[in-house]
Amino acid sequence: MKKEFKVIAELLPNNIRVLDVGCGDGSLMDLLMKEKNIEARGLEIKEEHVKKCIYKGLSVIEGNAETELNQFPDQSFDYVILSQTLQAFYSPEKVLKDLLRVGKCAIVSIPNFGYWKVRTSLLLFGKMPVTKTLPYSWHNTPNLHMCTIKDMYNFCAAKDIKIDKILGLNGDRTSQIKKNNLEIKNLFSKIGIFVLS
Amino acid sequence: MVGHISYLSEKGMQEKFGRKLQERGDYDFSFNADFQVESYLRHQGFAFVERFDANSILYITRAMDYFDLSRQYKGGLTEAFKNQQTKFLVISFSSDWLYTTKENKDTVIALNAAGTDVSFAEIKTDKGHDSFLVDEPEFLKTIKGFIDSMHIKFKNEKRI
Repeated sequence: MKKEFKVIAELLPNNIRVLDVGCGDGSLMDLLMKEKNIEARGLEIKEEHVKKCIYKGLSVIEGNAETELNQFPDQSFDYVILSQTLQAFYSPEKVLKDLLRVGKCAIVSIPNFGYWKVRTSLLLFGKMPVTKTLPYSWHNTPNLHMCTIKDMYNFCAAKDIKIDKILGLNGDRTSQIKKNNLEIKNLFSKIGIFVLS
Repeated sequence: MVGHISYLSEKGMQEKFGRKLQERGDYDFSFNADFQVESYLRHQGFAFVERFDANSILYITRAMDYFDLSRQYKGGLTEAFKNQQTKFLVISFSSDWLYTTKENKDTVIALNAAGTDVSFAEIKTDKGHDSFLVDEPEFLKTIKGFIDSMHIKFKNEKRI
C-alpha cells in the first residue's frame, strides 16, 4: 500500500461518501471502505483498471475526468480525491473547479516538481528529471502541467480556493506545510497533498 | 436483412466478407447475389422468415416505440431510478450501432444523478450488437467478476 494512500485515509472522517477520480485499480477505494467504512465510488479512464475494480466489487465508472465529471450532481460527495493526476489534464483549473462542485471538499495530491532531486537534475545535468515519483521521459510523459507545491499554493490563492491543509510527503515522513515553511518543504517533499474546500 | 446488418459491426463485416465474390470469378452485372455478403444476408433473411412470423416483428417494433421509462416519471430517467437499492453494472460494446456507448453513458448519468450505486465499462470489440450473444471473453469476465464479487459480499453479510 502506498504511503500516500494511508495518509489520505487518515485525513478522511469515517462513514462518508467519497469519489476517487482516477482510481486506478481501486486500492485506495478498498482501503477507505475497509478501514473507514466509507462509501467509495470511482472514475477511471483505463479499461483494464475499470475491470479490475469491478472484479473486486468496487463501483467504478469508465470515463474521462476532464469531460465526464459533469455526470455527478453538485455536492453529491463529501470528499472527492484526485491522486497525482491533476498535472495530466489539459485544463487543471476546470477539473479542480469540477472537483469542488461535485464534492464538499477535495483532496488533491501532486508530484512536487520543486523537490530538490528534480531541481538538481535540470540544474546539474541539464536533463529533464526522471525520478521514482516522475518516472517518465520528456517524450512519453502524460504530465502536461507539472507544478510545484508552491505553484499549487499560489494557484489556489489566485483562484479563491480555500486550502484547509497541506501535507508534504517524503518517503515515510509526513509533515504539515504552512506559509512559513513553504519554501523549505517545497524543496524536500516528493508529494504534496492538498485538502481543499 | 437490413436489421441483420445492424447486429454486426463494420469492421466485422469488412473482415468476414469485404468485396469477396460468391462462387464466381467476375461480376455478373445482374440482380443475383454476386457478393458473398449478399448471399449471406439473403440466407439470414430466409432463415428469419422461416423462424418468425413477420407480424411478431411489427408488434415488437411497436412495443419498443411505446416503451418510455421516463414518461411515467415526469422528472425523466433520474426520477425513475430514485431510491434504488440495486447495484447496477452498465456495459456497452464499442462497435454496437444499436445501443451505443453514448446512450449507455446517458443511462449511467441518470443513475448517477439519482445517487445509485453504478459501475460502467465499455468492452472494446468488433463483434457489434451481437457481442452479448457470442463468445466475448472480456464481457464474460467482467460479468463474472461483478456477480462473483456480489456473491462474496452477500455471503459475508449472511444475506444468502
